[in-house]
Amino acid sequence: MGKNRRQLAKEFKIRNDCARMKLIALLVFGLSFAGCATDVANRYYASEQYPPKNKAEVLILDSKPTRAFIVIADFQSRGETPSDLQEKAAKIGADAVIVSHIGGVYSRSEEWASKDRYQGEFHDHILGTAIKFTEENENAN
Amino acid sequence: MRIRSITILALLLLLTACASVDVTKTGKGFYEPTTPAEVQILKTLPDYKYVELGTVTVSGFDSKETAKMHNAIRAKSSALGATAVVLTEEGLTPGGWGTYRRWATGVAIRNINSQ
Repeated sequence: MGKNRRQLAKEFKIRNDCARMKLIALLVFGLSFAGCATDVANRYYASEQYPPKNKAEVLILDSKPTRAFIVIADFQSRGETPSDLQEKAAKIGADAVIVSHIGGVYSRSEEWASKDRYQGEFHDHILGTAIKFTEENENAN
Repeated sequence: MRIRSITILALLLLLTACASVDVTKTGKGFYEPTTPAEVQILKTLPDYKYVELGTVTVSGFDSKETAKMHNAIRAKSSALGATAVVLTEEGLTPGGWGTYRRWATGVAIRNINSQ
């Protein structure tokens, strides 16, 4: 009788642990699909505030523009998209946002430093550098 | 049941075949990405003038994969515009079945004389 009770308690604990594990797995799975941004950390550098713009007016760049510019803010997070950063840049009146992806998964099968099969796919952070073109400002003045 | 086993095995293989590199930007502004092969791995501060770009933490390598780990650091920090990464700490953590996993953390820097 006592043995059966111990077995029952053991089985219940195992089932309970399994249920807990399933719940955690479901939560992690759910969160990964929710696409929520984490580790959001932005910095604003400009001494003045610029009027907000329409999102469509803000350029999304993947490299340094040839025109002269000043950096007005940096955005950094996990789970955001270039479109999210464009929206943030529009709110602070930036002309463009330079987007880059850093960190993430690296295949241990790589043999060459310049090869990274997961570059841009399984990145860790997304970065956005919000800029104002200075030539445009000079023309406006 | 068979599909579940294959899925678990595939996931395990994927996890063990990959390492993870966390790069966090701490510097200001934007620098053009550099060529990964040109990124120096340093253990001491260089004598040229530089700016700090961010922190780099890498984990998940086999204890004997030191050079491969350095390449991962090069590949992932080049996107930030790093010309070198100064490794500040390195170590090994138990990986199970008597194995050890290698990790390292450092600072991505850029030589201010480089364009």
